Amino acid sequence: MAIFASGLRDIARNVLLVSATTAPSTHASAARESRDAFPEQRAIIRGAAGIGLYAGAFGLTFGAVATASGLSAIQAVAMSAVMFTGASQFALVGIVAVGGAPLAALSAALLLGLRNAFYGVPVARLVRPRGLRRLWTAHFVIDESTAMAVAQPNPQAGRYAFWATGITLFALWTLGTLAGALIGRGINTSALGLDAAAPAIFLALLWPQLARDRGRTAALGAVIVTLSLVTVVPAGIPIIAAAAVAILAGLIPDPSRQEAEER
Amino acid sequence: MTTLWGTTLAASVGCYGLKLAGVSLPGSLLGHPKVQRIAGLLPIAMLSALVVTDLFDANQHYSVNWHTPLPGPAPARSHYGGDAPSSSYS
Repeated sequence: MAIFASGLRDIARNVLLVSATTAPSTHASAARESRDAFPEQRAIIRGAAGIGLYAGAFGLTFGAVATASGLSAIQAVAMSAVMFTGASQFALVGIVAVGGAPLAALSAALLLGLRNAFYGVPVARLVRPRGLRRLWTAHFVIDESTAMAVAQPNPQAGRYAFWATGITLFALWTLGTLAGALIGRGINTSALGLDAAAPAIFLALLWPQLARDRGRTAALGAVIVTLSLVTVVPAGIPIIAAAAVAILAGLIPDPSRQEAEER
Repeated sequence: MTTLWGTTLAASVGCYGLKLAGVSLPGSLLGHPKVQRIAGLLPIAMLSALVVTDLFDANQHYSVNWHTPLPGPAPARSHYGGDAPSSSYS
């Protein structure tokens, strides 16, 4: 899980660091902290709240972009409530917006959602859901909840972080989407530059990944493939072709990295 | 609009299914290094493709005005174009 966990840990540590250093160090708060169930609780709550605020704003953008792309408000909110994974949602809406084939939009959403399946491994190890609880636990597995959970020093804090972040994020993401979808119909999204929001968000999601050599190679390969196909094939197809680039890039063995991965 | 609903619901249920598989399947299955590597590269490649696709959108939906001449027009996109962004989802 090194590939995912290390990057996510950095994100989570930064969130927790910021929330911890902005805490008031008064006598009253020290007394409050001694009543906490465990020492990490307060930092987790602050971190989850910060992530929640960003989720609300991000959801607002999604709601507006989704309705501008041709979805109804109900469809946008249904996506946020059921799919509940930002990159996939923006991908589907982005492909619909450029008139791409439904199958391409579906495939892109599923391929981008694949990483949530991998997040399930550390989450299942922490939460250990049994039977029907898996159905409920699975829904809250996303980038941020997993990141917060794996960054904790012990399993109790990890479980608390998972649920606190996941539930907060779900509530604010869905409500934000509803607000954005309703407001979006009333504003001129292109005048406010919101129609550039989707590509900007993709770029923001993508940027940290470009720090790795293999990530840069995959991105470059994808850009070349997309540029050569975008005027020739129906919309959405280049994105699936880019997925093929990723699979090929992943299959090619890299001797220098094999030692690191086998550790 | 039923095609759009079908796509939205299928994608939503599918993504949920992936999460459910993740918490249900044994870790050894998902832990294979090649599998993890591919899974790590998929979002990078696809997000890059999405950025490029949106920037070169012939629908002009994202209103990016390219004043530099690009090689070749985009005729293959015309039957997906038109005024309504959801033209293939009637």
